[in-house]
Amino acid sequence: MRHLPILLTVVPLTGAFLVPVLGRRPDRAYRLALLSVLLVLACAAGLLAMTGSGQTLQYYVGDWPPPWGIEVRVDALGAMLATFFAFVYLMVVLYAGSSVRAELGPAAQFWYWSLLLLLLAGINGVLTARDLFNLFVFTEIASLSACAIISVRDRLDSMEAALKYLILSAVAGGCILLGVALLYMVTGQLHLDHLGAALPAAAGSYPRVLLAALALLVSGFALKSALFPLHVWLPDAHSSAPSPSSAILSGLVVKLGIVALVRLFFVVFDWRRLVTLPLPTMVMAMGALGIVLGALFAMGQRDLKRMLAYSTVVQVGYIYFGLALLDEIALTGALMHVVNHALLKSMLFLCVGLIISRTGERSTAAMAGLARSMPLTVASFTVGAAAMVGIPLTNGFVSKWYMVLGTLNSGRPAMVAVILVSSLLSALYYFPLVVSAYFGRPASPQAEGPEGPPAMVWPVVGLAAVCLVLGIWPELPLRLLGGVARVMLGL
Amino acid sequence: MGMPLALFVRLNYMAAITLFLIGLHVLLGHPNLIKKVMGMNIMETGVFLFLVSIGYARHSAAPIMSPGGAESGLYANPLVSAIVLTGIVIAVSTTAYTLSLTIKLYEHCGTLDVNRLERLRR
Amino acid sequence: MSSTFEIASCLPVVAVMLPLVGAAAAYLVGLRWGLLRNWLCCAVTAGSLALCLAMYPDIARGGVLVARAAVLLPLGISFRVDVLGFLLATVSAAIWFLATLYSLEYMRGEHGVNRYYAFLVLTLAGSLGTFLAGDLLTLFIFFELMSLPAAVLVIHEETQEAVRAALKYLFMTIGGSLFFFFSMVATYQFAGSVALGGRGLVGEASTLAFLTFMGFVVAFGIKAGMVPLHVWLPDAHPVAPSPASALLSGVMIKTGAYGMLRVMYEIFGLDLLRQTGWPSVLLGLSVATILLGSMVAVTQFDLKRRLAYSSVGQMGCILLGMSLMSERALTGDVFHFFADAVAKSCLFLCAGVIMKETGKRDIRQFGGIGHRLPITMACFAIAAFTLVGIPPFNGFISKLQLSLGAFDAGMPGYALALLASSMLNAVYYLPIVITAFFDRAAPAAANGAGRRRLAEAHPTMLAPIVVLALGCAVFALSSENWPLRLSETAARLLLRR
Repeated sequence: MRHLPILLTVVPLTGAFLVPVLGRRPDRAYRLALLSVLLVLACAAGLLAMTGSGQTLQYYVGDWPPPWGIEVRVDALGAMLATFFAFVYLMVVLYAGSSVRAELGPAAQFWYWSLLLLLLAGINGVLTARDLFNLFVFTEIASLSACAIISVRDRLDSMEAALKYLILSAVAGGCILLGVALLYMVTGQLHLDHLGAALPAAAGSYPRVLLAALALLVSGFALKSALFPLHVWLPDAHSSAPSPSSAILSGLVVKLGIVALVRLFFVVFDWRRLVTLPLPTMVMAMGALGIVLGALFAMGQRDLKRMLAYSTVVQVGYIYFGLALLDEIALTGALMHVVNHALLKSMLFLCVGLIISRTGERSTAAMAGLARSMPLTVASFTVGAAAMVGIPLTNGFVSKWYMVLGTLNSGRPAMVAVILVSSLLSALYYFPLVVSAYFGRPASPQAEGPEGPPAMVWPVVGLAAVCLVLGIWPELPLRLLGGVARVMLGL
Repeated sequence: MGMPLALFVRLNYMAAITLFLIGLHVLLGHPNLIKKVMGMNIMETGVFLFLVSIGYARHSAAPIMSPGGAESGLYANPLVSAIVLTGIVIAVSTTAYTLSLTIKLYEHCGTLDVNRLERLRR
Repeated sequence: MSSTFEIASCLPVVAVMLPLVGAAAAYLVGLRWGLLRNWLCCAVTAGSLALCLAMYPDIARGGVLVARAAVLLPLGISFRVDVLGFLLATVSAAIWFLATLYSLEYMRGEHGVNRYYAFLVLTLAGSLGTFLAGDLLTLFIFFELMSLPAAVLVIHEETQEAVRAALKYLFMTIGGSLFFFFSMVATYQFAGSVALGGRGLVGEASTLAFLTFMGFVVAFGIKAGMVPLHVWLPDAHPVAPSPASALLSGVMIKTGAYGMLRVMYEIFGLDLLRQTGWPSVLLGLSVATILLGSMVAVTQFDLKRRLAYSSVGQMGCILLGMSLMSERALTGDVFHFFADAVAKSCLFLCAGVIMKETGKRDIRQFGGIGHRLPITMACFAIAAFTLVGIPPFNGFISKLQLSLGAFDAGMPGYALALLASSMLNAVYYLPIVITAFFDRAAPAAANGAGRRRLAEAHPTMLAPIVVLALGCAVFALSSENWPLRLSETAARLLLRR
């Protein structure tokens, strides 16, 4: 039990290496991957149960305490995100078990599973890392494996998207590492808490170095999480990966930069000090711009996956907007939206994957009249659309409520308009699709038969169900995240 | 002694930052993929140089405990070397991966020019 | 009867849950057994009506039924039924029951019947929840639960026109719900609570308070078809199947006005409104709504479009009544909710019969139609007289009270607006009735050889119409005007006298 925090990273890492060794046969690789993800989910759920009462679990790798050794720490935020992310992963792996066979050749399949597990290791590493350098290393692991997952399909557009992603993430990686180096130079610390303690003294002697470090770290992580206007790589990258990978990239991987920045803002750099800089205002402005412009771009898309990818830009802007308000309620809402968006966007990408595999088309016109032949998929898509707009009884409503309340609470009533406009714009590009799916005339005669293999349909339905359940009973995550927000803001 | 030393120490940092910026410029600005990879490496080398400079103090010895110890009693910081090593591993894997993608792209399109690739796709 | 006491009761919860569960059950049952589904829907709506009526003894004793369930965040769901909520919920459940009965024959052989019934019952859950809600969040959730599924009723015919109307409806509804959402959260920010039933939660006037008020005006104005936010209504209501139009125009748009009423008197409070004069915004808009709605109705020759614009005009009267802020105006206002709901749904159901039996929508072709459909057109005439405000029907009582209220409030000019409304109603309703019965030239042309055959509708379609037409007159003629008495109590409660 003591080793649970490190198992979160070690299990998928081991799995990633075992898959190429043991799992040359595709179905065996799949089973191995499934087993690893199940184990991770069990670990994460156990950790969530342990951190549920507000305590944090510390683990010293090799029993070396922090100034010398590496500390892995699981707080309520990490445990909760790890649990939900592992759940999303499980659903995606179940789905991919069928879809990958159709999309990839047998030779590429076990690489795909291996990379997927490596990515999970990177994700969990970022969620649990407690020192800045490990944060960097796991971010890089996640980015590299994400790139590799995009390029696993041997097609020109995938290669190009992967390359674009890779180059920009190398830029981001360089910025982050230089920022880490600058921080280490002025404080001699890498552990987040020790850094936080040492910074006030360093701020006196080296204010400009600190400013440079902050700028580098923020731009690096913002680039990785596609904060507007650093989002240019995202639509290409997310739309050209296989659908289950798009689900993970859009749902989980962009959140890593956000989580890293949350740690930086609230643990390392004291947020009360940040208020004196224009940084929160800038992040808020970029978030707001991302919300509005991203939505406008999304409206112009004719490709379903590109539309969803632009919608991710919008939602990332939304989360950053909530973070930058630096208010307890808004922070709760923003963190809640990290969870909600992970569930929603992965569900939507899986829906679209089903639609593409059924109709063979990627355009928005493919949705017309689909409700008759694909009732469960379209129903799940409807849930996702409703949650994106923030209709009551879906999880999107809960985060919207907290965000608006937080915006008012922080004394910026005019900013509420941004959130409301975002909802309205989401409605403008999601609802016509839903309406045409139910009431449109299909362009071509539809194929008869079931809507897809059950192993692909039920994960989608499962994710949609969780979205609804979180919309009706959000107490548990809200209580935990409210506690996290209070701790982070030092209230 | 103080002034030249400070200049010398700063010179290290200046050079590192300059390398970083040169690399960044090439990485983002140059259309040729191979040169982009080179830029990436230059940028990362800049960061490594910077890190190593942090850990070094004048007249310090390698951080190995021996009976006599260092003459000055100063040791170089070993942690940054560890960081740089990890960084180099990441940089190498990124480079290898980027190059393999570049080869694939070249096989597909017969060009390394990013602008021409864009045009080919349309 | 000025003092009230609270009674914990699960009746409101059951009344709302029954159609909610019923809708799902109806859909599932309907996949296999169509007939069973039809009667199930009738039973569910009748059951809701019975549950609403079952609250009457407590309400009559002056009680307020409360129920609370802590299932939904952030604040939990609560119900609070006072006289006003009871009256409107009962009336809407009754109209729903009649419309469902009417649908049995009207929808026979149509496409998508299963979907239609499920959503018909689902919207009942939404509107009952809206009327019985005990706090703004509950009101909001049920308001959405009614408004969004209603789009499915609008789009039912699946023609291009219907799809366009439904999308327009959907976007305006979502836009409205965002304003509602903003104002609700702002209210929560002011008071730390969104409970209804108080004397005002928003403490004092401020810019944000004004924005909140305007947010509510926009949100409920869109639903209520207030000019200039009414643009969706004349498109959406006519394209729906007639029983659905009856519900949309008869009951669902009333929820907008109902929400406004609650918000004005229980969220902002009379004192604040008197002191700031904000309701004058609503006064101006409601007069514009009355005049514009009625005048445009005169120019429409499609029967259902004319009825839809007439709804806009009537909503203007209701909005006017609540912004006058005097007791008699409020009495008339609440009574007009009832009067217009009954009359307008009767008219739409009649329109359904006319279209079904004669295939005509254009009122210029209605000559002599009264001879073929005597009962229907007689009911149409009664409902039309009600809306014009001819004594002794309901509409006369409500308009009288409203006008007296305008005098009480010291704003007699607004009585003129009501008078204009009545006159314009007369201008566009009476010709329909007159040509239907007294145009002797037309039937020969229409039916050939002057043959007049009786083609009255099926009894299950006719019965709801007759009941609604009786509803327009019975209470007004009887010595004990039950709805009026309830309206008086409701008005006193709102004003806290």
